[in-house]
Amino acid sequence: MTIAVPDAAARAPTIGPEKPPPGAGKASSGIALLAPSALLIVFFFAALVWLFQHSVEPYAPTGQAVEPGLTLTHYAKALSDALYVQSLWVTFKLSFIATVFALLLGYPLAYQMVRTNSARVRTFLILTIAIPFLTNLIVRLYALTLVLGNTGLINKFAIWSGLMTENEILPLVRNDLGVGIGLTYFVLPFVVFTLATALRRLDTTLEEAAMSLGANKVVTFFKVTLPLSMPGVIGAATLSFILSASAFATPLILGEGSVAMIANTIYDQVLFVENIPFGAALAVIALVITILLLYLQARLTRKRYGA
Amino acid sequence: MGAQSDIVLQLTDVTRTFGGVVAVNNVSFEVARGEFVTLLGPSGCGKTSTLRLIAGFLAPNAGEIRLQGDLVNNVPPYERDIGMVFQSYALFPHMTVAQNVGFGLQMRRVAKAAAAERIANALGLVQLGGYERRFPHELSGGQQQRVAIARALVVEPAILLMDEPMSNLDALLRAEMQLELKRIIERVGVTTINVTHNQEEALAMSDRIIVMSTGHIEQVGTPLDVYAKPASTFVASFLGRSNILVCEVERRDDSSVCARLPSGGTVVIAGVDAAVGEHITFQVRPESITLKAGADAGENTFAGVVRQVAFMGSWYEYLIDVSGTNFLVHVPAAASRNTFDDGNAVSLAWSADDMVRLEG
Repeated sequence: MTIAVPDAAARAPTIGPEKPPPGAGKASSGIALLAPSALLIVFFFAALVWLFQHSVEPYAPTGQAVEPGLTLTHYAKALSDALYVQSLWVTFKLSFIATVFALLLGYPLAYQMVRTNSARVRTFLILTIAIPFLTNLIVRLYALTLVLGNTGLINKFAIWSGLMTENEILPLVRNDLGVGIGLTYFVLPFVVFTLATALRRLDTTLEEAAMSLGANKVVTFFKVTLPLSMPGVIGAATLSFILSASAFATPLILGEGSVAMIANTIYDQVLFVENIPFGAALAVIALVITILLLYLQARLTRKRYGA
Repeated sequence: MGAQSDIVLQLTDVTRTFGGVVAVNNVSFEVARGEFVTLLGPSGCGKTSTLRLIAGFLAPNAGEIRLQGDLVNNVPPYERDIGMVFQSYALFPHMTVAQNVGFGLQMRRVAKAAAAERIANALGLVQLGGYERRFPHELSGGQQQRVAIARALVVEPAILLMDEPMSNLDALLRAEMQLELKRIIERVGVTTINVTHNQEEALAMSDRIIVMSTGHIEQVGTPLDVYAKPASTFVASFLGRSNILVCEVERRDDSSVCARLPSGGTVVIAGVDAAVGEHITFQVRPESITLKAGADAGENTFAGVVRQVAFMGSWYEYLIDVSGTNFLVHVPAAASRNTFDDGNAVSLAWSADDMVRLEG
């Protein structure tokens, strides 16, 4: 899983200064600073090249000779075979749904976090978001199965309160719904923190200006706050979508094998089918989609209004 | 009706605290229709909080705020009939100039055609016709400020509130804008409250100035009043430059008193009633003092030594040491080719009428 933070709003606290610090202009120190990038280039890009190279190689089952030459058959298969198209579609659909819900839940949370006058409320909100965020994902996912599972809290409560009979089950795992909830839960902290950064930067005088001109709080929100926080929303959405689309553990644990997102399909191809070229082709497709999304996000959040 | 309806804004014993700190302390004043009133004071004096109380961004802890006769203590800003110009202009960066100016009209559900006409008129008023489609970031600071003014005025508010409107402009533009803004506001005839720490702006633009310090009102008066007859040491030292001296009354007659300065010598102060032995504080403006080379004799005349000379453009500023007390003296540059240098013996004199007694 790559935790890329492509969002303009979230860029501030990350490493990589846009301007070199004063006195760092010397060529020698500049080259020394490139060393980590060099490592990244070698291990990351070389791996990508290797991946791409494999994706166009003919496949031969273990023990059989590989035919020479290049082929696009893996791509054709990935994009035509219903099984894989389904996996891509499920990935897209669940990532989209998780992103929408994370934004809907995350925006009010981020707004409260930034705007509350009470330091206690702010700390509480930050901890609520940060503690799960800093907890191991697998632990969190198993915890979530205790809530969503067939004998989990929700089902128990539904039976206890008489909403369901003991023979009934509210299926919240092992399906798209469960994975969707899991993905939303997984990306929510990223969304909240990205949006909080954007909202913190928003000049509240603009809201006061709107109110002085007769806009009530709701109108002010939709005419001023929301439009001006759109770069943050787009950044959070991109981050959320990319993280969801590359999710592996969430569909594995909450889908319990019945929901195969693209990462799970690739994993199966490479480790069980041992069709590395086909797995590589699927990975390249996922990568291309991610790059396209990043490009789209950059286009949408390109510095507007000179702000 | 009558006198009552001519009061647009009325503050009565308004107090506002922030976590135990009193920002606005028992402030009362009235603003008449069409008046231009400036809240003047150093930062932290409560002038901006007072403006925000009037705008409705803050609610008072005590007291009453009445706008056009209605009690508005807890009425939100969007239900008060105000126009506001912010220090940072606060133009909506995602809207064009026309959309910015039209925002208030849109909120008031003014029909499109009528709104377009009013936007055009407002932009004409601030000489920005033809800028409708520009975005704020495409405008200079001065132009942005004009848009902010047009946006506040286009809704024809009962009262125009301005929070340090000139502080982001450079000195030359500020002087120009002061005159132009005054012209615009006079033409529109809108009641205006301006907040500033800039005394020149306050003196040049206002019908009345309310001088504030540490949350309370120090003095209310016309620019001439507050400058020529400061009510307190604070006002005297905040508005313009001042020589402030404490002396002890030695003698009194019908129209004046004679008092002894701590550094020696006596001064004659006109129009002051004080008992013999009383300590009184008075002010002499630097421009009221005349300088002469050498020694001289007469009422309110003292011998001193030039300690410092500074050329200020249209005047010279001298620091004159009179037996250990420093006097600030301003001499118009046109009248003087700096005839005095460091160490010169001079005599300084002022008229008994130019001495203003200060309270506290």
